[in-house]
Amino acid sequence: VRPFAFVEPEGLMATLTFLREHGHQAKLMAGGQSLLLGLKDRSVRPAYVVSLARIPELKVWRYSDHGELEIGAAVTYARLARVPLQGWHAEIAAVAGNLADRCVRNMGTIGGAACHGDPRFDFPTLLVGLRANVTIAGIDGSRVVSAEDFFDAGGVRLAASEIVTKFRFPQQSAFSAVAFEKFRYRMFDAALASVSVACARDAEGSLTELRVVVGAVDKSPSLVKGAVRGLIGKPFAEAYRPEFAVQVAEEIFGVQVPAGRMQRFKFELTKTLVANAMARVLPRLGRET
Amino acid sequence: MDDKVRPKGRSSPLQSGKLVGQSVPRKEDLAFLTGTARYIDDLRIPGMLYAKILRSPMAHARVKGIDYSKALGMPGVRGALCARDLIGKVKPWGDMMSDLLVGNLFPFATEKVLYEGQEVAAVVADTKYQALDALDAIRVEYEELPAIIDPEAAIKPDCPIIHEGTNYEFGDGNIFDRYRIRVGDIAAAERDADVVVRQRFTTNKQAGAALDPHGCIADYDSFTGILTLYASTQSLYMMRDALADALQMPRNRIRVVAPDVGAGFGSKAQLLGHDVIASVFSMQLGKPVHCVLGRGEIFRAGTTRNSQVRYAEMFLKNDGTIIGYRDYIVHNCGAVSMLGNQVVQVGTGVGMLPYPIPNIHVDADCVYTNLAPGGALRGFGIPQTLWAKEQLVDMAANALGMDPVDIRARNVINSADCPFRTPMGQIVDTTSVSDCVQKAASAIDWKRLRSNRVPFEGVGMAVGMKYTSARHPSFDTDLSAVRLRLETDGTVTIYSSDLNHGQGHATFLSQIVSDVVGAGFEKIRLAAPDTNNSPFGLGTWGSRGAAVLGTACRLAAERLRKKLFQIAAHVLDERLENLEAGGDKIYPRGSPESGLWLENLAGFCAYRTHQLPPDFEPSLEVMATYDTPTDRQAPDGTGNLSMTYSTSVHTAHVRINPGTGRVTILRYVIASDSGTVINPQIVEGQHLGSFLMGLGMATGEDYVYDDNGHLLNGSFKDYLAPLATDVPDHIELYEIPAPSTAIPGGQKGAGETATGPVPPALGNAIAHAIGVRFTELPITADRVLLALREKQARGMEVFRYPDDMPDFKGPRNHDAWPRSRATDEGLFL
Repeated sequence: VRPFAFVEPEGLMATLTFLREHGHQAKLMAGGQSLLLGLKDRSVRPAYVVSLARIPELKVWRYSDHGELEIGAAVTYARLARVPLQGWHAEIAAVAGNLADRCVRNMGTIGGAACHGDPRFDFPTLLVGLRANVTIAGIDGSRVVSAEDFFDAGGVRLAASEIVTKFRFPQQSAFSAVAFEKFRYRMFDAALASVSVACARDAEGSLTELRVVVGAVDKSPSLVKGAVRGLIGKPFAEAYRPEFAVQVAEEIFGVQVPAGRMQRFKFELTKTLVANAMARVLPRLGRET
Repeated sequence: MDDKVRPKGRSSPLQSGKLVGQSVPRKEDLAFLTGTARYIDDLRIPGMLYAKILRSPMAHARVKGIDYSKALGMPGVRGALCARDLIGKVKPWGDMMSDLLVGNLFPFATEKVLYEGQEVAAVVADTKYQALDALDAIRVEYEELPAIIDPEAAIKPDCPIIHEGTNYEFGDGNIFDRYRIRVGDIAAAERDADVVVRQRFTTNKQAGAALDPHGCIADYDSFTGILTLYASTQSLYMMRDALADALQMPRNRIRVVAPDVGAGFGSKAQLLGHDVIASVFSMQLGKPVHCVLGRGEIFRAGTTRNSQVRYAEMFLKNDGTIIGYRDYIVHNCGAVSMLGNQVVQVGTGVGMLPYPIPNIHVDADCVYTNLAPGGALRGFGIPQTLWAKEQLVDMAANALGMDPVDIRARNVINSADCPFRTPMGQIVDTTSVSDCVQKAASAIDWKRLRSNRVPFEGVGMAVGMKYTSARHPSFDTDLSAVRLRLETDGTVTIYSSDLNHGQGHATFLSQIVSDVVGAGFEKIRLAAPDTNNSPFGLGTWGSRGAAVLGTACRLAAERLRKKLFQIAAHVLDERLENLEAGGDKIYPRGSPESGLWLENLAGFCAYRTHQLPPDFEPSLEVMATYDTPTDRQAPDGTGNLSMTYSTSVHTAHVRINPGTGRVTILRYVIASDSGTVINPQIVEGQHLGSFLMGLGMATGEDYVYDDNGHLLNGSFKDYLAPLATDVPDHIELYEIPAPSTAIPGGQKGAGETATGPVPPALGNAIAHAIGVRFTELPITADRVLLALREKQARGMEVFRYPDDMPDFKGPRNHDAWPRSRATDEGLFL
């Protein structure tokens, strides 16, 4: 570790004020699980490490008046895993409880994972997959961007003077069923490929939205646009074909078989994970009776 | 006989007569479990400085210049070193252990860097952070050279030389040593064979990966001229002698002390550059110097398992009898061999067991590449041999339509034939390998799993034997020693330089001493390993702890008992033959309530010497050594390098996920012959640890390099060592002891036997499950899935990975195999 100054500003405004002056030399620390690894091997060398521990509003979650699920950026995985979320929101808690190891889940935060921007982490994929948006505070006020726009080619669109304060997932009615699937070598490893599927249908059983996002295979989560088109507006159970998984993989990787063992493996994994995720959502998409 | 080895509850060891054979709770564990054990990085000496090493970011480059002048001016910095400061002052080492004409190890890269992570310069400062900051200020000018990472490219005659200007006794170019086995007549075996199976196999580069890092504190006393080295090591005296040789100091002025050592696995058996660097700094400054390596440094500069390419062939008769084995091995030792050539010699010869193959022809080229140093690692060459040989056995069984269990049962050594001399020259004193084969098969329900096929499930077997200690070709010794002292209060102190790094020395040595001398287990203590008071011995490696050190301990305890009996016979006016030891007493047979306390006998010896028999030397401090009476290796590769051989037979029941390629081990059975088991719980731990290391080799561990020789996975985050969650839920251990008749006490080595069979047992099980024969390690999910897809796409019944993949670059078939350039000319065969 290189020497740095550790600062713990009291409250959001004090933190933002500090960042306005020193943001470009500072690293924010929430749970520290990614930052400390970089500090220890001296690949990250900030002049200031700014603790977010004294900003209480980052640590809360709640349902908004409209039923949207709001999760503070400094909510830990362990805390989120224990939240009794209902309906498809429960998948968010399940993902939080099934990544890394217990020590990382106890300290690591959703905001930290998102801002680190590592596409192998689960939450970037999940945030884009569930059409979440990101609230970002600056000294002059807050702005809200979609998760899709937040993640950008391996990085995140966040100024050095800003802080991510919360994530907002859509209300229950937005989706009928959600499934997140991933593959990792070992229990505590980051994903080699991950897939988020979220779909909505109307009372007739016709599909109104199918949102498929593939993570860990590119620098940022990849939203599938083409392969889903043919299914919209149709009764899902009838229209769905197993070839869908192949179409998704080919859309992400190209029709040519990718070169290199790991890319080809991810291509094959994507097919499997899409099929597995679809198998989980399909039973919940039948005609309402 | 074949009871499962499970700790027998918490039965008090003090209730029954003898402790050998009981799962006495380990003396070591209290400190480890309470966090009070002290490893090298826990030691603090007043005034201690910190050394840090600048390592090469390139795998192969000329060093054009090093400038550390700016670093010397930085806060807290006390000194800096690089090669030019030590050339002509420090002697290269490594010649003795690797049997080379000239040592190939030096604290720093000289004209060239040979691998990423090689030492280039070092600084010493008041704090480790100042030292690290100062490293940033050192300027090194490199001229990068192409990295040679493929061992088969390295042996081509036109390949650039890695170690320039060095002459080898048996090698040429990047081949620094060669090894041969010439047993029987391989041409006749090939002619007479009904079935021949041949396959190119490759193995992976596995890390030493001891959790406790490599490191030392050097503490030179400029007044007495004595250099003390606290080191995380497996061998006090090999460390001391190599350091004394490197520094050209008298050996009685170097003291090596080991703190608690958190494993070594073979990677801490030799002197490394940082030990010399810390010593030189300490001697220059007269202050203690700490130098403990980080994980990234250990991955790059610690030793690894040598990877191999093997062109292996097996010759059989129609009834399944193996009549010949031929192999050409390209043995990749990385940039610097640390016992690497010994690995292929001992590992290949002993790896032929348990089949007494009459005709064997092996050529091995030991080759340098620009990869991390290779050398000793748990199993010492046997896992690489078994990966090829035990899969060939299954391929032969398939070709002959035989069951893999039956073909092995037909070929293994029968216990009734023991002692049995194999054509390789090994004398197997006793073995239960045949029973182990049957037990491993029946316990996993072999017959049912073979006949009732479940899609994507399979079962496989592999058999291995391991030497118990060895007379290595490079040095003609296999020596351990124990000194015992009965203290004046009846307690006993054990001195040994063969130290514990996971084997439970304090426990199993105390069990032996307690049984022989009669002192209570809790009154026996193992002194900390320290060359100031520990007798000379080779160290803890090669599965030598229980058998060789244990025998030295038994002999010392018997000497001590004899002296105690002499005093007791004199004082009690009893006949020597009529005395017994037990319950902290020496007493007339059958009268344990009478007799003399050990405390009294010790007291006579120290403070009441008129009680002693006439001419009795008044000392209860005795020493014994044991040097196994083994053979040196003959020029044809034969010889009995070990007194006894332990066995491990594995069966695995696996399931493959056809969507992800993940291999799940549903059940795993290990049937072992470890001879007389001193402490079943310790032996169980050794078997499980061995298995786990084999599991890592089989399923995930490997050094991944880019084309420039940069290590891409040099951290535990990326290096796929098995986690606790990767250990199969169902592992069953069975022990079928065939007590050694060659080792007094009957024990055989147990520390490494269960490593080697794991990769081929899983390889065979996977081949049975999905028809994919893996010839490359490790077997990761990505390889399994891609093999499965390719096999399905091409509709093949039997598929070899990677040989049948479209992008495979090596020779696919026997006609395209390379041959060794070595000739037998000039060899006295």
